[in-house]
Amino acid sequence: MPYYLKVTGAVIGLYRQAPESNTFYRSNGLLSVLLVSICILFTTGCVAPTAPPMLPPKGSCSLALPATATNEEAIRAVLSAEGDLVVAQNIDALMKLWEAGAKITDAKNTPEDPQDDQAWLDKDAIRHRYVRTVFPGAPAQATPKDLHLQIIDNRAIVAATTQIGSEISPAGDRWILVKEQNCWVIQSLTYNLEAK
Amino acid sequence: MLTEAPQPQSKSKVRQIAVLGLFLLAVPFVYFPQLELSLWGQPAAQNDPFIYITDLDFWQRTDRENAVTAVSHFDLAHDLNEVPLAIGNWKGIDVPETNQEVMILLEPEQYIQRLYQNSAGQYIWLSMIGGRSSQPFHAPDICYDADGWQYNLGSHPMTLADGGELYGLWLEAKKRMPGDEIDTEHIVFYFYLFPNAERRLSDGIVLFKLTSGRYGSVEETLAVHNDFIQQFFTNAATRKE
Repeated sequence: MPYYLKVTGAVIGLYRQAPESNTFYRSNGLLSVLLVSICILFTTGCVAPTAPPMLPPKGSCSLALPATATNEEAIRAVLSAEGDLVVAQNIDALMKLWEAGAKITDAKNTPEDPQDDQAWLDKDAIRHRYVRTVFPGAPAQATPKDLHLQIIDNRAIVAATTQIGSEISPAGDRWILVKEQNCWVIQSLTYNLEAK
Repeated sequence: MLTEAPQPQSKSKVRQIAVLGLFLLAVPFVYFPQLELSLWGQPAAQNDPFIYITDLDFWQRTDRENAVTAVSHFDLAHDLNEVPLAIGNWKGIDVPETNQEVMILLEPEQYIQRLYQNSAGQYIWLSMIGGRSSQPFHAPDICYDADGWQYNLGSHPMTLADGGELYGLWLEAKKRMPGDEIDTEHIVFYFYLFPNAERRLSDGIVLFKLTSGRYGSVEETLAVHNDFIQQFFTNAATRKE
């Protein structure tokens, strides 16, 4: 039991035990109850948070992967989850897969010409793209296939073929993931990389 | 003449009332931050008609949801025409939408389109679109995309004069018009306004959208938009759950 409840209980107990006839004692008892209450108000009202807020898990750490999962398994799990969560239209879980400051680029099938690229330049923009562009299409399948992984230290480049419904983009996607605090998160996606 | 001595009982009553008064006085001082937080959960507009909830999207809350203080009404319980035409360094004129297809497609409850100009000669279009369904709220990037514009999209915090930031989405769009030798460029900044924290469609939503040409870089153009927004919104506080 918190200490202040014990103190309040003790004071109220004293008050109740006071003889009815002893006006001075009873009035001072009531005074004590009120003073203790004021003290409690001040102490509990000014209590600082005892622990810093926990940051929610992100990237591969937001997916219940076994602790023994290798880098490659974690990266594959992140990309697989991205597809599944698109189908499920679970925007909150999707956004946990992306790094702050992440980017999506539509290469417009002209990979050699960045001038015509279209970009979504941060997580807010990526969220907006999911909600306003991807979800309305109600994709029934959005799974990256034929993954070719290249892992260098804490950075991974993944070439993939994505099938969204009936639309297949062979080797048209390039994902870049980075490892932060032992969690793999998506840093960028460039799609429509296959030339016309 | 003998004066009747005060009764101990009445003395103690005075003391009790005094202590009770002190007790009641202490409550708001001690619990003010908590009271303030708990008030966040209440409909914002019930107590202050100039406080609105803003967000990047109207479907689900985002991390950028804010409560902002405005200098005018931005809800469907009021006529959006009452939003000032002359404010700060800016003066505007109403430019009614002449394309009836827009009205047929969007079916807005209120639709205001204005052209403002500041003393430096910079122009900003202000569009305020109000509705109680999702139909009037086509994301501007979808419309630009459908019309063949190329664009980049991001988010940006507008700093308000009395503190806080108001987040919106910006769009940098360009298109080569037939017969032109250079691209036409638009910088768009927009966000949604809700009259209360519940954000029900039936309570009405207002899309606040600015469109201008490019004045220097995207950042410099957004600074011009920021100056415009500061005239209408004075402070913001990040929404706490």
